[in-house]
Amino acid sequence: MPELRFEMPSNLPELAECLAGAGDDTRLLGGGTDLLLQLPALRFQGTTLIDLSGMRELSEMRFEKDVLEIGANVTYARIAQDPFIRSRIPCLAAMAARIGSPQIRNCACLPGNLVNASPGGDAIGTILALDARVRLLNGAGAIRECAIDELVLGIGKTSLSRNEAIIGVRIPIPASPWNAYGKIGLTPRREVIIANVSLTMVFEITEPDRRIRAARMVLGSTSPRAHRVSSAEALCVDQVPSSELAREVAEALKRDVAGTIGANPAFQHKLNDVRGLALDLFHELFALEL
Amino acid sequence: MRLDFTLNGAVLSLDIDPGLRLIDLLRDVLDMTGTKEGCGEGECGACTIILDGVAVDSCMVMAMQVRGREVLTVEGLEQKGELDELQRAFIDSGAIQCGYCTPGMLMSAKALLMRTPEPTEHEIRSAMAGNLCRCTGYLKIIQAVQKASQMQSAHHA
Ligand SMILES: Cc1cc2nc3c(=O)[nH]c(=O)nc-3n(C[C@H](O)[C@H](O)[C@H](O)COP(=O)(O)OP(=O)(O)OC[C@H]3O[C@@H](n4cnc5c(N)ncnc54)[C@H](O)[C@@H]3O)c2cc1C
Ligand code: FES
Ligand code: FES
Repeated sequence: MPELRFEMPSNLPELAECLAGAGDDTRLLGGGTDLLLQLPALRFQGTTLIDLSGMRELSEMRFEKDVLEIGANVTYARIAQDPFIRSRIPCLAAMAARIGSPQIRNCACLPGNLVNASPGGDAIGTILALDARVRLLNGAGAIRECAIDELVLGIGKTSLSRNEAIIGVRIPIPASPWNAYGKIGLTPRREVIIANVSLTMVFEITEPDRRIRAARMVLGSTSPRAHRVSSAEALCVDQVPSSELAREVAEALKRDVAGTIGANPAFQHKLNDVRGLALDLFHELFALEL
Repeated sequence: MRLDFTLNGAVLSLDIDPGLRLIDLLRDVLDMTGTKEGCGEGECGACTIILDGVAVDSCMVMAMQVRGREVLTVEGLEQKGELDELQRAFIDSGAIQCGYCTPGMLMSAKALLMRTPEPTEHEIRSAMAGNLCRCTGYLKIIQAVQKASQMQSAHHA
C-alpha cells in the first residue's frame, strides 16, 4: 500500500511551492473535520496532504478599512468568541457558534466548509449573505480574489484548481449590525446538528428613520448550494421593519423553498421550518410582536 | 516521519507513519489507551484530548498536526499519584457507569475549567455538548463538574 505523504509549509512561499507540485492526488488539510472522514481512502491512494496548521500567518484576523480578513486557519471557536464579530457581524458569530460541537469548532475553519461545498454547509450561506470574497494563492505565488458564488459551483464542486489554496476570507464589515443567522437541525440534539434549513439575513438600515435600504437573504440546505432569495430581499427595500413585513418575507422564503423542493414528501417539513426561522430572525433583530 | 511534541508534560521525539490520526498514535503506538474511540467521526467526543489548551477530538486530528504543540490526555490529569479533583468529583458524584465516555467527558470538562474556573450550568452543558453518554443521563456528570469547580475554588481560596 502506498504511504500517505505529509507536507508542512510554514509560510506563503513554502505553500506556493507545495501547490506548484500538487497533483490530482494532493489535498489540502485545514481543520480536518471533513477530510479525515475520508482518511482510509486517502491512505489507500497514497494521497499527499498539504497541512496548513503550521502556517501562523493564516491564523490572523486583520482589519483593512471596511474589510475584515479572516485567515484560513482561524477556527469557528475564535470567530464565535471574537467581540468585534459578535457586535458588528452577529450572523457570522452565530453561524460559527452553531457548527458541530466545541471540539469541532476548535479545529474547523471556513475554507474547508466552502471547498467541501455541501448543501448543508452552514458557512457558505452566511459568507454569501455577507458578500465576502476569498483570497486564493496559486503555485506561482500569485494571489487572486473570487466571490463565493464563483467558488462554490454545486454539491462538492468548486472552481478551485488543484494548484490553489484559500488563504483568507474577506468580509466587508456591514455598516450596521442588523444581521442574524439561524438554523433548524435534522436531529433533536442541541449541538452537532446538520441544518435542515439555515437562513442568514443582512440588512442595511439607515437611522434615524430606521428604513431598510438593502437586504441580502440566503437560504442554506434547501437547494444544491446556498442561494439568495431576491423576491424576499426586494420586499424589504425602503420599508420599516414591521410584523407585517416579517410575515410577507417569511411567505416569500417559503415559496422559494416550495419551488426548490417540489412535491418531494421527505422535504415538506422545510416549509414550516423556513417560515418559523424567518419570523424568529425578524423577532431577534427588531423585537417585533409576531 | 519525525514528530516532536509534548505529551502530558513530557517532550517526545518519535518516528511515525504520517498516515496516523492522533488517536492511533496515542492508543496503538504509545499504548496510552485511556483515550477511547467511539464513532471515529467527531460525533461522540469519547476521544477528546486537550491540544494547546482547547478540547479537540483526537479522531479528527492527524498525528503530524500536533508537531511542536502540547497534548494533554486523561493519563496526564493525575499529578504525583493523586487524582485530579475532576476525576475525584466524577467518582464521588456517581458520574461513571460503564466508563467508556468518561475520559472524553473529563477532558472536555478540564478544558472548560482551565478557561472558566467557575462555570455556570449553561456553560457546562455547552462545553460538554460534544460528548455523548449512553448510561448516565448526563445529570450526574454536570453535577460532578460543578463539584470539581467548587473543590478547586475552595482549594485556591
Ligand atoms: C461532528 C461534526 C459536526 C459538524 N457540524 C457541522 C455543522 O454544524 N455545520 C457545517 O456546516 N459543517 C459541519 N461539519 C463539517 C465541517 O466541520 C465543516 O465543513 C468545516 O468547516 C470543515 O473545515 P475544516 O477546516 O475542518 O476542513 P478540512 O476537513 O480540513 O477540509 C475540507 C475540504 O476543504 C479543503 N480545504 C481545507 N482548507 C482549505 C484551504 N485553505 N484552501 C483550499 N481547500 C481547503 C480540503 O482539501 C477538503 O477537501 C461537521 C463535521 C463534523 C465531523
Ligand atoms: S471517536 Fe472521536 S468523536 Fe467519536
Ligand atoms: S458511562 Fe457509559 S457511556 Fe457514559
